[in-house]
Amino acid sequence: MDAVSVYKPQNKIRFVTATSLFDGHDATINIMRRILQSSGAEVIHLGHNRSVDEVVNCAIQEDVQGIALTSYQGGHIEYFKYIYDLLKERGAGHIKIFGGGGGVILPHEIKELQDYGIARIYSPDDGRHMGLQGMINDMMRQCDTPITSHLNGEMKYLPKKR
Amino acid sequence: MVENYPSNAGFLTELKKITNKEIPVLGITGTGGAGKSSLVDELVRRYLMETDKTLAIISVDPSKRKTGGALLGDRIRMNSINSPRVYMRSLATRQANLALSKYVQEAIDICKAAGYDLIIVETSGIGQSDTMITDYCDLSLYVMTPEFGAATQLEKIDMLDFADIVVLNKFDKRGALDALRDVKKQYKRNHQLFDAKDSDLPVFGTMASQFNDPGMNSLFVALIKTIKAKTGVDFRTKNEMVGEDAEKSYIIPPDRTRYLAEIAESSAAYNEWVDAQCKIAQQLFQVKGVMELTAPPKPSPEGRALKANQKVSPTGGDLEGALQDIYTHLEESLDAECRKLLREWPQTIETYKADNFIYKVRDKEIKQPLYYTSLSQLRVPKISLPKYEAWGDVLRWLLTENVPGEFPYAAGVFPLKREGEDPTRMFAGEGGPERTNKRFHYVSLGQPAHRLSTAFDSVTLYGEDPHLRPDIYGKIGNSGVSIATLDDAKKLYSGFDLCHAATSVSMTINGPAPMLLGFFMNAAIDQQCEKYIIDHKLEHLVEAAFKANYDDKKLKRPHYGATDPTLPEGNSGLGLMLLGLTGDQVLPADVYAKIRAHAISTVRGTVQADILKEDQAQNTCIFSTEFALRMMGDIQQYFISEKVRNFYSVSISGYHIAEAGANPITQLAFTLSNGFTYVEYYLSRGMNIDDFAPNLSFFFSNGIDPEYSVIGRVARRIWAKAMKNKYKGNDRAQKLKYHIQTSGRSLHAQEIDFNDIRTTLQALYAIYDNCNSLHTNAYDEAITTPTEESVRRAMAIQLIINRELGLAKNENPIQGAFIIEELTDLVENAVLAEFKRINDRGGVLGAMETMYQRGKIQEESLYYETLKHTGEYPIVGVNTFLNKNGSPTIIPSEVIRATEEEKQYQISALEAFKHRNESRAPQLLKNLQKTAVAGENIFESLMEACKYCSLGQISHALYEVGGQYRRNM
Repeated sequence: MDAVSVYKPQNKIRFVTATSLFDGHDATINIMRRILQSSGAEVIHLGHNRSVDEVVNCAIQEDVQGIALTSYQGGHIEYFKYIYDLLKERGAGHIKIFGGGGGVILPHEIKELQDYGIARIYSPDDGRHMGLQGMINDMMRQCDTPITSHLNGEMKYLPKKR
Repeated sequence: MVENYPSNAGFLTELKKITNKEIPVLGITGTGGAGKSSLVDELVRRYLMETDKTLAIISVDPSKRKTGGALLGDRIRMNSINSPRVYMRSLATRQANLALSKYVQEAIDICKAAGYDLIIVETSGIGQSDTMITDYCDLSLYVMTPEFGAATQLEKIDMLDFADIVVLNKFDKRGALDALRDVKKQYKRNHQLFDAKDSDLPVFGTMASQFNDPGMNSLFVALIKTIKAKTGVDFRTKNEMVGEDAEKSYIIPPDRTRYLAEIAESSAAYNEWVDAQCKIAQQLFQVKGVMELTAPPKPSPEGRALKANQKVSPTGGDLEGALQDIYTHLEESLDAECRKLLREWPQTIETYKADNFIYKVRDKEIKQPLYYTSLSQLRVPKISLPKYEAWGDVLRWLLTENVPGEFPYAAGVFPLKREGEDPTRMFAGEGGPERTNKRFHYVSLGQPAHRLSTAFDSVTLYGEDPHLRPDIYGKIGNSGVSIATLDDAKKLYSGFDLCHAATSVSMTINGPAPMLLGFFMNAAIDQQCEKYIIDHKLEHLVEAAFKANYDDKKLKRPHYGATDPTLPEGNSGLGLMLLGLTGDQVLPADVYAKIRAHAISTVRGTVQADILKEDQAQNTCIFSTEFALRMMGDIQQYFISEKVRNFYSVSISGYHIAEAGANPITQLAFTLSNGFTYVEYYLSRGMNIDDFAPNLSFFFSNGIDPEYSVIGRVARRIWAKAMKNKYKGNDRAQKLKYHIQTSGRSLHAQEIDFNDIRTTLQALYAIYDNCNSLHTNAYDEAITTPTEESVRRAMAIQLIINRELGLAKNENPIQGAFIIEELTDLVENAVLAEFKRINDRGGVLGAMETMYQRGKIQEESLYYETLKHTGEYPIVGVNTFLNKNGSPTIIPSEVIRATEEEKQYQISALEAFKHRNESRAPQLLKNLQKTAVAGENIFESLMEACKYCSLGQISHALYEVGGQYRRNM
């Protein structure tokens, strides 16, 4: 496979990375976050065993464009959909969700999750075809958007927010 | 936003207007690796407990100049920030060589505008720009460690001029008190406080990594006071924390941290001694030979027969006498133990020529045949002995190999394998307890011995209860069984007599191991109560207890099966009579106590409970490592006082280390070093080596590498040598017993049929190496949850080797092979060399602090992946010998998962359990916490709590007194 060149983003891109709840398999996410970093992203790494609430809270507080998660322990359908729902519920539907879980996530499940609104679930085949950098480039490209440039009148709520 | 659009001036001016100037800003900075994020987390935890105020944290980490990327890694260490009262924002510096982002002031302003009561700004400790932080904050805190080098180094630290508070974290490091004194001296100089008392200086020693560290308490109290003094803001903390000097409760006492080097040294000393002794024995043998050659011929009837030997007989002098002198001298210099071994050797040979071997186990005489007759009527020996004649060779074999059952146990720790019990252990765990119970009965139907291996779902592995919340719900009963209560445990093992000599249960659980063990023990006790009730016809008492505890309270009695109460084939129903009750609710206290004592001293099995390898490789830690270790010690202490002889309190595991990518040498070295760490810890708690060492067991992975052919031999020998020579343990303590699981990592998702071949070879390694227990993986495990068909095939692998394979009828088939002996020495030396490397890092716990083990495992994993990728490491059907379709990855059409019905049933059963015990649980949990705080044996009160509290309830109660696990990068 030819060496894939690193995608050069227009914007500062921030990601939250973690593995799913009750899941200690952190080898993959550690590799992915390193490549994200070396591709110029600012990565807030949460490590393994993180609940949806923790990930979503962090993503909102940290103003990220994307969340990258791995799930090797099953329950991925519920986990990813819940992330999506909770982000939307808390007004952060713009944050994109990426995931992977090796062979644990079956092809029809990948389709189900992407149809639901998950930006992309990478399969082992994707890994073979795109390469690691290729997958990271894909994530960076999809997240290469400004965070916000105007406040939309939210200013007046600031003192009330706790 | 302020980071990205600095020119949006209108927004910033507006912001300034609503900024509340009264809000204190605390700046925290310090050297890298000083433990700042743990320290901040511990401050936050105390702040949330002691006040009802809110808090914002702004944490700044450096951007990489080359890539522009950044790792904002503070959150991973933070356990207390997921609270509605805490906001945290990580900033990358986005500029080179500076510790702060340009936009810190704006970020502070936003937090002030948002009305947070306290703002913490934490900066990275790189470069010389630490003091920049003081421009932004009202007061500052500087974090360092005692390891700053010579006191003159302190003169270079600018922050000692500026900081309001100085913290020496990691106060357990060597020379901490001297460091504290030096820093205080420097602080006095810098602040012209020459008359100040040392104790009044704002310099603190802390151990943020230690739960509820008194030094941290002191720091917190001082911090709140300083904030008041400097800004006038009073946080009115609830109940003033008791501040004391930081005091480390050491796991391994500081003067014992060289244990691994000592083990390596003692092994080397033994080897040298063996060499010297064998040399003497060999010389003795040679002298004896010469004496025989030169002995004067016996007078023959012919008077003078010329014998060949007379030709070489030197003339003159008293040769015979001289040889005799040499012989006597050599014999005296030979160790008495070696003399005895050589003297008894001919007898040993005779013993193994007999038809049967007779030995004693705990005063019970056991007689087992020593020969197997093949179809060709050949008598094949179970134990084959060397034909060595020279004493040096015989002695070396006895000192480094020996027959199975004799020190140093190279070939095995028992003289012969147990009869009527294959070392087959079968793994099961999926769905609810009923489904797994059914699987257990399926795999053990018709087997004389029931060796059950339990896999728990990840909810259970992390100590939580099933719940409807989607991120929990999705994992209930997947890739393991869901167990949250004593009721669940009773259903899971129903129909197996847990106190029967042929039943043995292993539980793959680590973080919440104490609770699961509590459930298991209580289930075993109640089974015995049930048998007593039936024997004494006391069923009416059970009925009365059900009436009082359920019917009268309008509660539904718990039952087996979500909808279908039918028991699977083979399940007698034992253990279900008291489902929902405990024996002490039915039987008189004295009867119950007696049954209880008998049950827990009789049950056979293993609980994994190996917390060290969890931190190194597997990541299912839930409590702080220190607290988890303390509970392991409590369990072991409990086992000793309750005379639990047949249950292993820990399964010291290399399996997960190997699965995470470690090579076999690293697997063995890390696992044994973890084992010796438990030994040192238990010894430091005052336990006797002979009392606890027999309760330790080991668990290794067997892959396909050459080292795996001797992994058991090396493990047994290193352990035995250390136990005998260094720890002075008795022979039971010297015997290392271990379970093998074939390597899951060596199974591939391509050409999955080939996987059984790999497993077979690995199983053969294990059986030839005399493992005490074995699990063979199913070929489809790489892609899915094994089916009944694939599990049956996996079981057949073992049965074919054990029952059909002729050579396996012999029990020491690899002893005496040159390569095996050489590999054993090579691997042993490599393991001991690794011991020294770990020792140089402060022992196992010291090495873990710098994540040495994790790093090494990751490195080795990468090495394997690279060779696999390039094809240098051939894997048939994966990177070579592909079929005409290119051997594609097999994707299963459907994976076995827990059903909705099972999940819902688990949740409703748990709710019913909690509801019926809601009056009892709080008090039991409080007792449990009290025991923990008082430093008493936690497991004793845990045994009670397990009767009426759920797993999640207990975990959360213990977090409050023992601390949660802090993740590592």
